[in-house]
This record gives sequence, structure tokens and C-alpha cells, in this order.
Amino acid sequence: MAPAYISRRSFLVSAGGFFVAVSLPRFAKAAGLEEPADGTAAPALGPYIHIPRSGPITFVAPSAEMGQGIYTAEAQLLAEELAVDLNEIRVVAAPPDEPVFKNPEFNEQITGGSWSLRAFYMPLRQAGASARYRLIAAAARRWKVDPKSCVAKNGTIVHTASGRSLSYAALADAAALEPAPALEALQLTSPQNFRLIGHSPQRVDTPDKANGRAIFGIDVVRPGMKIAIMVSCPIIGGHLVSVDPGPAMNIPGVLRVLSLPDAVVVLGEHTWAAMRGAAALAPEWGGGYPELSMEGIANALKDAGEKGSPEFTKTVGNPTEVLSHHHGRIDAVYEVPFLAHAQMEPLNAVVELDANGCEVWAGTQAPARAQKLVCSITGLPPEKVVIHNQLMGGAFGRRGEVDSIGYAVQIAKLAGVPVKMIWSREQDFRADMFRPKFRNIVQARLGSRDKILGWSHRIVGGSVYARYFPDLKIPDYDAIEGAAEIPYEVNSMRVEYIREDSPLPISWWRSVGPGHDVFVVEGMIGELAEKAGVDPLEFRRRVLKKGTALLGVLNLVAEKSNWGSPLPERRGRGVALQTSFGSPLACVIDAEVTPDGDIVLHRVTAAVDCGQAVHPDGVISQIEGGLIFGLSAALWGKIDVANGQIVQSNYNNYRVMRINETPPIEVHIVPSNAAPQGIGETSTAVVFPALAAAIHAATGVRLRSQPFDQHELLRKGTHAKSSDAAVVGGVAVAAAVVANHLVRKCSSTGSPRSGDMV
Amino acid sequence: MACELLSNWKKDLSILFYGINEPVQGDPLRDRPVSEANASILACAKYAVPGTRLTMYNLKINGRQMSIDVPGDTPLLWAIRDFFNLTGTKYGCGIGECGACTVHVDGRPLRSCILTVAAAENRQVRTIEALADDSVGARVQKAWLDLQVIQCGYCQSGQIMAAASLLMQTPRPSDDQIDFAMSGNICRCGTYPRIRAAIHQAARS
Repeated sequence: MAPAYISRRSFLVSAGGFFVAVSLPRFAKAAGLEEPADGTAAPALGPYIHIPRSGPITFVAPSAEMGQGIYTAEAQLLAEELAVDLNEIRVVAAPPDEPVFKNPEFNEQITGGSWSLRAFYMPLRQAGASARYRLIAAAARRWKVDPKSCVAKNGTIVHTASGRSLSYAALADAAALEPAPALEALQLTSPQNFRLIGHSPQRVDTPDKANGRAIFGIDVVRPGMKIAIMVSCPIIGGHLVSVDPGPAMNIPGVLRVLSLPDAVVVLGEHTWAAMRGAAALAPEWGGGYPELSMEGIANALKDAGEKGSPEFTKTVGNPTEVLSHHHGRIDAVYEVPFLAHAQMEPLNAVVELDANGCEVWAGTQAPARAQKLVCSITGLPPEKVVIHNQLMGGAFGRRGEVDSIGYAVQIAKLAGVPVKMIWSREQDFRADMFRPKFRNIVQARLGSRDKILGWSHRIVGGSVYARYFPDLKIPDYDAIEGAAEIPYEVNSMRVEYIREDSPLPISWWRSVGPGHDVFVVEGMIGELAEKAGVDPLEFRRRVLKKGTALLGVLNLVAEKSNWGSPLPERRGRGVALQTSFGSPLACVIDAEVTPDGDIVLHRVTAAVDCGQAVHPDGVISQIEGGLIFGLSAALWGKIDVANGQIVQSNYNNYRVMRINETPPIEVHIVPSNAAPQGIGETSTAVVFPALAAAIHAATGVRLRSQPFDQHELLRKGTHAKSSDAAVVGGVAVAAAVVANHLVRKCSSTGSPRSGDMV
Repeated sequence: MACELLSNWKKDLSILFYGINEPVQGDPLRDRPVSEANASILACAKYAVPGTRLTMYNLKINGRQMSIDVPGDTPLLWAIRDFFNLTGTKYGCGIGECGACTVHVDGRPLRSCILTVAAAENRQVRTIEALADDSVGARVQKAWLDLQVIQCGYCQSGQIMAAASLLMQTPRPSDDQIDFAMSGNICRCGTYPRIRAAIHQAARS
């Protein structure tokens, strides 16, 4: 590998044998690297590390920070091997440069899917170690000693025998000229010597988040910038017919009214002027799907489930024959709704556009995707399009889409001045790209008390994958992940996906495929346990595949949650497992259902085996946050459509969890030095079935559709057997509504109900 | 509808929202009739800024005084962000539902997105940027860092301002008092368990 320098003219990095020239100063600007006055910039030791002649080492983070703590965890990996402390490192966002900064698992520069640490654990450790080797080599050359006689320690190279030492800053230029060692030659820090990995140092991004100084996309200010408030056509798929700008123009501070094909935009001197201007407009909209309703979408999914042909089918054994027998069989329909992301920071972007280029300041999970879109809108080549990635006020998949950045660039093009486009909260809901609604038609047949004979799961819903991979015949993992592979022994199994798109735009949502599929799989396992007359936790022990790490976390959560110990009336515990993202996780929720149908959460216990926890406290944070994110959706999350419009518009009608509704949460991590696995989405996926099971344990009511609405609980009553109370074919088979007897006696969760015995 | 069953915090705190106009509710465009006419992409039009002059509003934020020329219904939030260039106070919902915009007005925690400049005039406004000047505020910020509360951080200015105000009035709050004071602040990252712990820690410190 050739020496890598940042010079005024070009920045050469070697990536997989290819030299990639990235022009400075744009790269340096985007990476936050200031050009020093003497004309030579900080030497680069690989694409991630820049060591200036004074001041902190700069780490160009390949993954984007949206709250998950990845700046800290990735900096830990680098700093561990580079033999420096975290406070000696400054983290900056990587500019769009796919060959250099792509996530190797996606082959794309995108942060998501709980893939950052899984993909970058070794590459970043190797990058840190490689830089350390080169610094040692440079020092040894200067001192004319054997590199093996030198060690790296606290940002200096020390010659142990003579006691001589040189700082990294003093060695950086020379180190950049040293060849990078072969990856196989690198000796990485052994786990017993970890100073940072496996510890929980102060996060690098939070001090400024506690004092208001952290800059998110919405906080960026550029000279001469005007505020753009955008209002999309409320009719799904519709467009703008006409708009009279007069009412907006009468408002002081409003500069212009701009028209886009499917939106109007008010440009103002300041935000409130533009917001008032936008509210004053009465555009005429047309086209789209003004008749669209959620009932219509639900009916379409039902029809497709009955008549559609699967685009994915996985068959094991002979499910048709096995499931043709009624004995021991459960037939069920599980449904999940469209969901909004509702991240705290509404989408926004700042754009400066002129003939020489385009600069964008926005928080994005997909900077290279953003750059490509800007290139296609402006006609500019990539080297003239700079994406300054910003801290994100939540993303949850929404910022993996770059539609909002595209709108901002179109607005800047029309406006002819630098603009900051801000989506109001209402606009953010209206123009969200939702987690798809799915209908699941399921059959499972019990053979004995610890044997599942047959399993059939037909998933019906829209395809997020289709938009990204229209020509690729690959399974749509957003639809099937968590369902196609289940951790239970089943002799005969069929899993199908029937694609049925609706006009609603859809996208990734924290917990992706497992977020809806694990609800179905674990729900059915609970139903089978009930049919078997076996405690649902014990039933899982019996039917789990041999050798799965799930058994360990299941036993751990059983112990930590006091599974089986008595609970007061109206309370129950529910258990659920998930094994996606590489991290087996078990969760027990202890919940109460009041006579009014209110669900009260008493305690949540989770146990996870995520391999090496790089920042254990960060793992706990992600599990806690993921649980709460899922609980919001399980209890209240639902997007409705009426008259072709999204009904929900703000937090007053899209309810999310608040502190007074949050239960105590305990997270237990299985100690491990194995390669780290995904963590950010694991707990969200497991909330839905765990809570449904807890409600069942408390009341006997089996909820198969989300959100778990109190009225539904009241309507279904409790004296009926759960199979009678289930939603079948989309119609609630009404059991007697006995609101005053909602809750059955439940002295201990997990005790078998007197259901049908096989 | 369950989703409309909001917690009581707003009702109980409404006495604190003195002098505010109707919050900006919903979106007026939603109720517009829709025609099926063909699409037409309109050329953008440039209009002159009307010459209407407005009252000057005299605001005092973090001890800095400034008169700004805006309509009286301008939320304090946008005055703070756009005119004082203090961006720690965040826009989250615009209707007083999420608390990301919480600031102290004469020592009380208010939602600056529904507090107008007219109502805030000549009052002492403190934002997150000046919270450390107060010893309770500094303690809260330290507890937030010590317990690693923060994830994305977007709501945390508001959370910290609400928590500091709680501790200024109630030095040793119970869990119920924390619930009452903090239930107006939404966090989508789910940092609530740590917020609770950090408030207790700040109270002890």
C-alpha cells in the first residue's frame, strides 16, 4: 500500500487495491478537516485516521450517528488498537465515498440493519493496529532500532530499552510514508488486555448534547440562508393543481411561494414567517387516490392472501399433508398496521447550490445515496456535490431514505439562494414512508406436548425491497426475516410471501422484518404451548432447535424475571424470543390489565447474547430504547388512511410512550468475547409478542392484531377461550362482552390454561 | 380513542401557559376540498415583501436583551432559534405535545413553541445554553452525563430544562413527582428509565 497523504490537491486512499482520488478541499471540508495554513493537511493513515501535528486525532467514522452511540463504539475499536484514549480522538462523519466507507455487508455506504459493529469490528480494529504499526515503524527508522523493541502507549511510541519516546503527532508525516502491513501480519489486542472494548466510557457525542451546543441538521445556519417550509399534497399520490400565492405573500417576512409537482413551498426570512405563509395557502390538489381508505387496503391484503401467488416460498417436508388434519391444529390471522417513524427531529436539509457545485447539510443514514440523488437532480458530477452529514435527532430507518434531501435541492434550485428546508411535524407525518401493514395467515399443528408437526405462514403485504432491487430476484427480507428461519424444530414447514403493494409509500422501520414477523412466530408458539397445556417458557425449552444460543438467554431471563413466581390478579408474564441481527434475545414482560382495559406495565426483563459487547452500557441503552420504541407501537402505533389522506399528524394523535408509562427495565448481557452482533433493533422485535403473551396470561385474551387497544381488550371479554376471542379472517369472532369480568384469575403466569389438550 | 387519552400533565400545567394564543393545530390544508383536475406545474413567482411594519418585541434571553421585529404570534421558540441564534432549544411538534422546546420563563418550564413573543416580552427567559450558570442546572447536566442518559439528544435540551426546573422547586422529588413533571417531554430513543435515575442522582448530589 502506498503512503497516504492528504495534500492540498488530492487525497489518496487505498481501498481494496484501488486508489481513489478524492479532491480536497471538498473532502476535507466534508470530513471537518481544516486545511492548515502551511498548505499541508493532516497525514492520513488509511481512510479513517488523520493525525494532525497538534490537537486530537481525527477519526472519520464510516457509520452515521443517529443516537445509537456508534461514534463512540467505533472510536473505541480504533482507539483500542491505536493505543490512545477516547478523549484524544475527534470523530467526524465520513463524506459520501462508497468504495472507501461502504458497509461491507451492504456493499453500500449506509448505516442500518444493526450492521455497523458486525461489519466494522475487525476493519476498524485493523485500521487502528495498522496505524500503530506504521507509527512504530517510523519511530524505529528514526532511531535506527528494531521495531520490535518499540511499543505504542498513550499516543506515543516508546523505545523501551533507551526510554526515548516520540508523540504520534511528531511521527505522523513519517508514518504516512511507511507501508501498511499486511492484515495477516497485524497482531490485535487480546481481549484480556482490552482497555476500551468491553468498557463503557463516556460517549463522545453527548457532552454537547447536554449543553445545547450539538449541531443537528435543523441547527445548521449558512450565510444568506432562507427558510423553506414545504407542504406536500395531502392526497396520497396526488399533485398540485394550482395555488394562489397571495395570502402567503401578504404575510410579513414571506419572500416567495414555490411550486413543486406534489408540494407547495413558502420561502421566508425566518421560520415563523414561512410557517404562517404555508398555513395561509389554499392550494388546489388533484390526482392520487382520494378514495383510499385503510379498510380498502385491509381488504386488498385479505384478497391477496386468499388468491395471490407467492413470490417467495420455502417448503420443508410435507406441510400440505401434515396440516390437512384438524387434530391439534391452530388456524390464525395476525395483523400489524402501518407505522410512522415519528423521530424527534423532523426531516430537514440545508442546501447551497450554484453552478460550481452543491453542498448539503443534513443528517442521513445514507450519504452516498443522498449524493447520487443530488447529482441526478442537479446534473453535477459527484466531486462537486458535498454531503455534510449531521448528527441525527433520531432516524429509525426514516433517514435511510433521501427523499427529503431531494426536495430540499429542488427547492434550492428554484429559490436561487441557500435554503434550509424544515418539515413541520405535520408534514413529517404526512410524507413519512411507513412501516408496511402486513396480514399473516398462519397454521400450526401440535403433535404432542413437545413436538410441532406442521407450520405454515403466509405473509401478505407491501415490498420495501422492490423499490431498491426491482430487477433482482432475491427474497424480500423486510417481509420474511424472522419468519423464513425460525428457531424451533418443525418437521414440515411452509413460509410464503405474497406481495401486495398499496399506494402508501413504505420503508424500513427499526426492527425491520423481525419487527412484524417475530410477533407472529412467537404468538403462534404461545398458542401451541397453550394447546399443549404446557407453560409457554417450558414449551419453548422443549421445542427449540438443539444447540441454539436462545436456550441460554431463555434460561437467564426465566431466572431474572422470577418466571413462575406468583403475581397478583390481573397480572401476567409473557415471554418471547428473537434471534435475528445475530443476537439471541429473550424478553419477559410483566403486565396488568385493569378492569377498564388499561394495560399497565410493571416490569420488563431482557437477556441478550450479542457477542462482545463493545460498550456494554450502550448495549443496555439500545435494549432499553428499543423496548420502549416497540412498546409505543404495540400499545398505540397505527397509521390510518381516510379519504386518501394520512389521518395522524402529530404526537397528539400518534401516541408514543411517556415517562409515566415506562416500566422498570432490566437488561442482562451474556458475557462473551465472540464477534459482536447487532443490537439496535433486537429488543423492538421482541416486544410485540412478549406483551401480547403477558396480556394473555393476565386476561386469557389472545390479541393477534396491533396496536393492543384497550377497547379491543374490553370488546373481546375474557371468559371465552382465547381461540374464540381471536381475530379470524379479519373479523372479531365476538365472545361475550363482559367488561366487568375482563380479567380472569391469574395467580401465576405460565400456568397452563384449561385449553384443548392434544 | 385510546390515542386521545392524554396524560393529565397538560391540563394541570395549563395555568402556566399564560397569555398564549391558540396553538398551531393540525394543518389547514387537510380540510381543503380536492379536485381531480390535471396536474400543472406552476412556475415560481417572485413577489415583493409587503412593507407592513410590526411591533417590536423586547426579549431577554440568557441575560441578553434584543428587540425583534416579528408578528406578535411568533412562538418564542423561533425567536430564540432564528433571531438569537441559540439552537439548543428544539422544534419537535409545534403544539406543546413533546417538550423539546422547553425553556425557563421567569423560572418556570414552558413550551416555547406555543408561547408567543408577546407573552414572553420582558420576562427572563433561560435556554439550555445558559443552564449551567445555575448550580441545580449544572448538577442535572452532570447527572445526565454520568448516567449516560443521552442517545440522539434531540429531546434532551427540553428534558434537562424540565428536570432542572423540577429540582429547583422540588429538591427531592418522588417517582410520582418526576412522572408529573416529566410526562410532557417525549423521547423517541426511550431514555426515560435513565432520565428518572439521573433526576434522583442530581437530587442526591
